Amino acid sequence: MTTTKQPDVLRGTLDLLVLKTLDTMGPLHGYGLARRLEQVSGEMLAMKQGTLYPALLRLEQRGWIKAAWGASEANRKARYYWLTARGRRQLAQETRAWDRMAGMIGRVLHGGVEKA
Amino acid sequence: MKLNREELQEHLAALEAEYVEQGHTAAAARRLARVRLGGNDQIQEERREVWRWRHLDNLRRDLGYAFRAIRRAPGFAAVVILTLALGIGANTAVFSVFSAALLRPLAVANPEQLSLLYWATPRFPRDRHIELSGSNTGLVAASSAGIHTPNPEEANYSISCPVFETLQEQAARRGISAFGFAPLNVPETIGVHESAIAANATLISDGSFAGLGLAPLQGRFPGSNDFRAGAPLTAVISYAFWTAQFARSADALGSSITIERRPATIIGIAPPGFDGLELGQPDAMWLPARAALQAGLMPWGDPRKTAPNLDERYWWMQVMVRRPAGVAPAQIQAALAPAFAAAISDVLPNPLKQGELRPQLKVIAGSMGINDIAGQFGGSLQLLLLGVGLLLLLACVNTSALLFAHSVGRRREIALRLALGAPRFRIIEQLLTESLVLAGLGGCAGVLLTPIASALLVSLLSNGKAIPLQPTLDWRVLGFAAAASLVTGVLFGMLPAFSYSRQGGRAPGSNRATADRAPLRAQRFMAAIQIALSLVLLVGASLFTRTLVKLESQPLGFDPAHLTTFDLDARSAGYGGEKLADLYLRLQHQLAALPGVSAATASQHTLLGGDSGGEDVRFPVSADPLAWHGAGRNGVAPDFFATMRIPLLLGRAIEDRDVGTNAPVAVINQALAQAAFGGANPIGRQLEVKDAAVYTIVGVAANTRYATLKGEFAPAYFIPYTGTRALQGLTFEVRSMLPTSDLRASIAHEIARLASGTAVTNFQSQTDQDGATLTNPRLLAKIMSVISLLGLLLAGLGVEGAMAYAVAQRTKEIGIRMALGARTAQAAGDVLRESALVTLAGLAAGLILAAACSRLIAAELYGVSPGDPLTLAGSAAALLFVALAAAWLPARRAAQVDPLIALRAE
Repeated sequence: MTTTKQPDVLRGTLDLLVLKTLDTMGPLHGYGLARRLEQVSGEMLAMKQGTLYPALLRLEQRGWIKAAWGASEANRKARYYWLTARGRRQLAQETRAWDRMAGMIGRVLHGGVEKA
Repeated sequence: MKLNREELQEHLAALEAEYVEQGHTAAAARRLARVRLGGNDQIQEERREVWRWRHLDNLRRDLGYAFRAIRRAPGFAAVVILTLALGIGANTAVFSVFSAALLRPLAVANPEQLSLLYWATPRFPRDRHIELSGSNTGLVAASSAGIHTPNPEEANYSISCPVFETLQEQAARRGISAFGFAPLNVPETIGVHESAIAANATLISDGSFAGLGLAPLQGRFPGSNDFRAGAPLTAVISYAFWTAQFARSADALGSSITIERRPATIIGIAPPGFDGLELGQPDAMWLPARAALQAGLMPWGDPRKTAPNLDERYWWMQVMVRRPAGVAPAQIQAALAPAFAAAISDVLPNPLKQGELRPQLKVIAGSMGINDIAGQFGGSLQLLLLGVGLLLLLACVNTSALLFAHSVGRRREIALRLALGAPRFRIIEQLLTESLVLAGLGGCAGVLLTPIASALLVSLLSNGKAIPLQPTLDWRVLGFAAAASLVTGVLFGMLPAFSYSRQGGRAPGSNRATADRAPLRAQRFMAAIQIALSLVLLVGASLFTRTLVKLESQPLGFDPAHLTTFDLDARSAGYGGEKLADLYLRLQHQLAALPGVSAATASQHTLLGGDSGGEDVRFPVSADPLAWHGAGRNGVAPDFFATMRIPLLLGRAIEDRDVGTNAPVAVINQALAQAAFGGANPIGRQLEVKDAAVYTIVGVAANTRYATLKGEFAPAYFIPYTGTRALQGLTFEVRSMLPTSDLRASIAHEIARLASGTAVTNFQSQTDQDGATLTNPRLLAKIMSVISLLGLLLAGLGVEGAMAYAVAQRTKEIGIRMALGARTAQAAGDVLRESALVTLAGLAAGLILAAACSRLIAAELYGVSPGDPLTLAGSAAALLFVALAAAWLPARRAAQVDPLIALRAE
């Protein structure tokens, strides 16, 4: 596997958001997950809902989430996703990394830059 | 694992339901849902990322970026593309000719399975031929030339009919098909619908078409019935002949044509593309051998009677075999060699019967058929490939330096991207994509140039005569062009790409007064490489040009100026025998009497006309089978020596009274006299020619160049043109101060008056004629000169570019020095000195490179050694001059630097 070591910002964020949402909400299907993300982000995450699925597939491939078919609220077929133990660990790790990064960026943006 | 389509459908349905709930119509809801979910493309694209197809995307992005960069700097791109187009176009053109001459296989099924048989005696004496039968009708291999082998002197490609039949039978037992073929006299006069056409015909044995794996396009190929004794003559015609003469009409089948006035019926048409087994000699038709012999058509234009052609002493058939899959050529050789040895043992003369000299049967690849052109031009074409290869390398370095200098502005952008965290290989990838796009465009432009350039090459190769060598843009050539473009793109893009991506986060456009040294060094280095490559090309071109000049100024032994020559064969007008000889004599006298004409004569072979005849001779008449001298022979008309201005040293020339006489006489040249008689007077001595006629020597002529300009004068003898062989066409030579073009009308008038219905061919001046022997030297000299001039131009531009870059980079430095009191001359002198140093370094490297190449070209040189000091010094001086001239502009710019402006730019 030769995936890049530096995922671009949006994708990394989306992964993190998906993990977090599944952590708080429990098992969700794709549609529900998309709606939830939109609600939480206040429509700021102006993404096409379809792009969620590649992310889900990626997370599933890495073993952070699992998926199975079930029935939706409207009694239709739906594929549900939930967090695995590894996913939970990953979430904790990424949350810490995010906090560090956000802190650093904040300092850089508001605290001024030293000359190179 | 892949995305689940059903899942996406469900999601879409849920979104739709949501919109319907909000009060949208079903159609609107569906549209909105689609938009919200995102187009298939977007999702697909994401999917690709997941599948690690990222590279394709990146490539697309890089391509777009590359094209935008080209649009931003169209002038720069045009220069790069043009430079590469020249380099790649030149390579592709030479390669297309090379491929047509040396790589293209026969248009038959599985040509790689074909092998040609030949035989050789391990120690075949070169200057003496050994007679195979001892009888007067015997003949050593009719076709000893014509096939490109490692050692053509010792290979013979024809065997006798009975031996062939033995081999064919032997081969058939092992499931190998063997078939024989031999050309008729080249070319034949073919009669189609009352008109006469000159075209080639080839005799074939039974099983030839089957062995080649061909099926008739129309009609049928000859079957065993057509090969039996007494069968009527039939012909299979080529697709090209069918097209030209019958406009591809089905009526051609069953219609009758004549071959040298012998009627034949067309029974089939060969598939398109197949034009015989010899490159450059396309066949118009193929005839069953036995029927053709019975009709009086003789292979190799030999006027012998029918019977000897079928007996074992006359060796004339060339043999090809098709190996079944999995059978190696060596196995064929092993299987057939004993049969060959047994079959020939009866006819071998004594000296050949003993072990060492015994002819051995051998096998070589036959996938290209008989390829004389490879032997003639292969060496030159290989050298030209080397030359254009060097030119392309030069173009690479040149464009690399251009790209390097051009992208100074890009460094800021690249540094920024690196600082923002772009991985280094992405930067390299992107820069390489740009250079590959440029190279690709250059390659496309080059391919467009190729047909013109290769047509030019072929016209130089054919030297006015027809060489039906057709370079086409087939997959081989296009593949070559693509590979050349790819290699070029990587080569010239590599240095800038790696160098820029290495600069890391270093602040671009620093404020230092002195320039960054690394790119300056790279520029100088690349300029020096260009000088070195250009020197090699220039030295090669000079050596080839001096060879050509040397050959052209070679004493010929006759005076080629003011001579007009043309070929005439009055047999096509129905003349023959004594009437033909008489006609030629009368015509000669009439031509000599034309106003403005001082003398006229005729001969069987044109001096230096590219074709030459020879028959072995011995003195005095003896029975010693090893006493034969190889000598050139020419049948000549009266006044030959006077017209050609060949001095007669002893005795007399051939005169009117010798034509058709019963007391045959001969004039020998000095070389033959020396070889045969030493200092003794040969006048009145006997000369026996191999075909049994005995001549009395009446004169000794000075040596002349006969077939080749190189080496010693070859021994030769001259006999009246009514000599032993049946009289055919002659070449007429007319000496006149009038230009050749002015003579044409009056000569044509004379011929129409005396021999109407006779076509004149090859009407040209003798000096044009001489050119035929100079084809290779001229090809090398001309093409290499063009290549080296292009190289010189590129190298000059390279030096100019490097110096201009240096001056631009150091404007501040120069400005400061000027402000501190340096004179303008000093600034300009610095630039010139630097360019001289760079040039000298390049010249030193070039001399080493040239020395390495010299061994490759030695064989093509004449009268000048590859290490000729004058050539080397002259080429180096020329390059130094060009480099200094090229540095002149940047030097002036340096001198004009205004310290105030330069420093204000801070």
